[in-house]
Amino acid sequence: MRAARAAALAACVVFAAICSPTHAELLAGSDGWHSWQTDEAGAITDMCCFTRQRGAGSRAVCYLDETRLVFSSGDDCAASPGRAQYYVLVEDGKPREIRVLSEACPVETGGQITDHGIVPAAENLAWFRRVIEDRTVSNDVREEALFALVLSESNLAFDYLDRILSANVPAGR
Amino acid sequence: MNTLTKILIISAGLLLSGTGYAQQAAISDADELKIAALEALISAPPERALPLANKVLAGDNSDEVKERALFILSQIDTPESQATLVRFAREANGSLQEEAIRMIGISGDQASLAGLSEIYASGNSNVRDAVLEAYLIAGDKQAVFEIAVNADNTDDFEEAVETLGAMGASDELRELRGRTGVSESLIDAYAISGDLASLLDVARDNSDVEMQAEAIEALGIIGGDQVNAELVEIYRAAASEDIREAALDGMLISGYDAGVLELYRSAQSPAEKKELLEYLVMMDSDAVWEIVDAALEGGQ
Repeated sequence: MRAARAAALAACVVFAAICSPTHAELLAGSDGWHSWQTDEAGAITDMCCFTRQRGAGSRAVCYLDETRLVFSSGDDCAASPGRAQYYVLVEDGKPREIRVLSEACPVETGGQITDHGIVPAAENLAWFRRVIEDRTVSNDVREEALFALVLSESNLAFDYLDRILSANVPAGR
Repeated sequence: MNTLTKILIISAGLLLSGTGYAQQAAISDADELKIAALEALISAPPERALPLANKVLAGDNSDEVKERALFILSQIDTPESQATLVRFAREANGSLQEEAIRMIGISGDQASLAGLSEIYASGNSNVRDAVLEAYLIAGDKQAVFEIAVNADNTDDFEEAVETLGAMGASDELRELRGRTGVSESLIDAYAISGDLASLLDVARDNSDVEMQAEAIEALGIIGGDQVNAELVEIYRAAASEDIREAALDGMLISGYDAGVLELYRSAQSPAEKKELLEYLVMMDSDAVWEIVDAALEGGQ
């Protein structure tokens, strides 16, 4: 019985390591594109790539390697409620590009995308906080991280923004 | 919010993001983070961005941070956001008040824009400039025209006329001439707005030689073949040295060295040739070398 419990515990630890990568693991991950999803009440991301031809817009495949992507949102990109899909390009162990898209948005890249599956919302926010508050990360990437949090419309994300913006605000004002 | 609006907002946000961290050398780390967070809010739904922006404005934050919150409000099309902008435009002081006024211009809200006339009337020169900028941003020509018509001092009139020129408000500027007469600022505004017809009208009117000369010179700002031909014609028909000089100044501004060379070749007196040659030198024209070469050949 004791052995069975130990085996079950070990399996849980292995399972957690696979399904819930820490931000450190993501940041130290191999170079290339990484992706993960969050499933959080309040989040509603329908962002997708978008092309305009003759004044009319239509959904397009997101080529993640392109530096100038045109994002939009619309019913045809609607994701499952609560789902947000994040894409992060890691170079030399540091995030270089961050995107948040609808899980329904088709993406392509010249390389592989390492899929980390579903990451708990708190873990996801911790990863973003680490990027936003890390002065060794480029300002552009830190700003992309802030935009990604806003676009996710996650309650946790807005709570975090609220804390940033409320810092040093005297009580009662 | 429709799709196009979101695209524009997100594009603007990404453009803005270039200024968030990068250009804030003199700002504290905490304020840098706040500014970047506020800029990210441009892509947030209004109902989530508004309370955060309001909280920043109510808090003990620096003007730089609050100014960015005012910008976010300008992008939220709700009565609440406009009410806050108007309150700051009326009650805040210094740069924060001026920024709130400009943000009303960016928002383009008609009711808030209409309220700026009262703020203009009671404001100092910085506030008045900010109101003009707001109208310029919003493209509200009529409001600026009203300021010009009702100006009780030269500075305010000239600022308003200059703004109308930048707005390309030709109809309003023509109307102003009928009401206030020709002035130097009006001539400059005709030139800046590209109103050749009005400028030519003043340039051909010799009832006020000083204004006539100003208009002739200002023709050079518009430039182009028609203007160049007019300037040569004006020079040739000039009844005074002032008008001739104004025509030359116009050609100098428009860079019409071919016209000055043409006048040089047809000039009769050495004094006139000398003056025209001086203009060609000032224009850094290669035509000077044509004249030098011709003179050397003539000497041989």
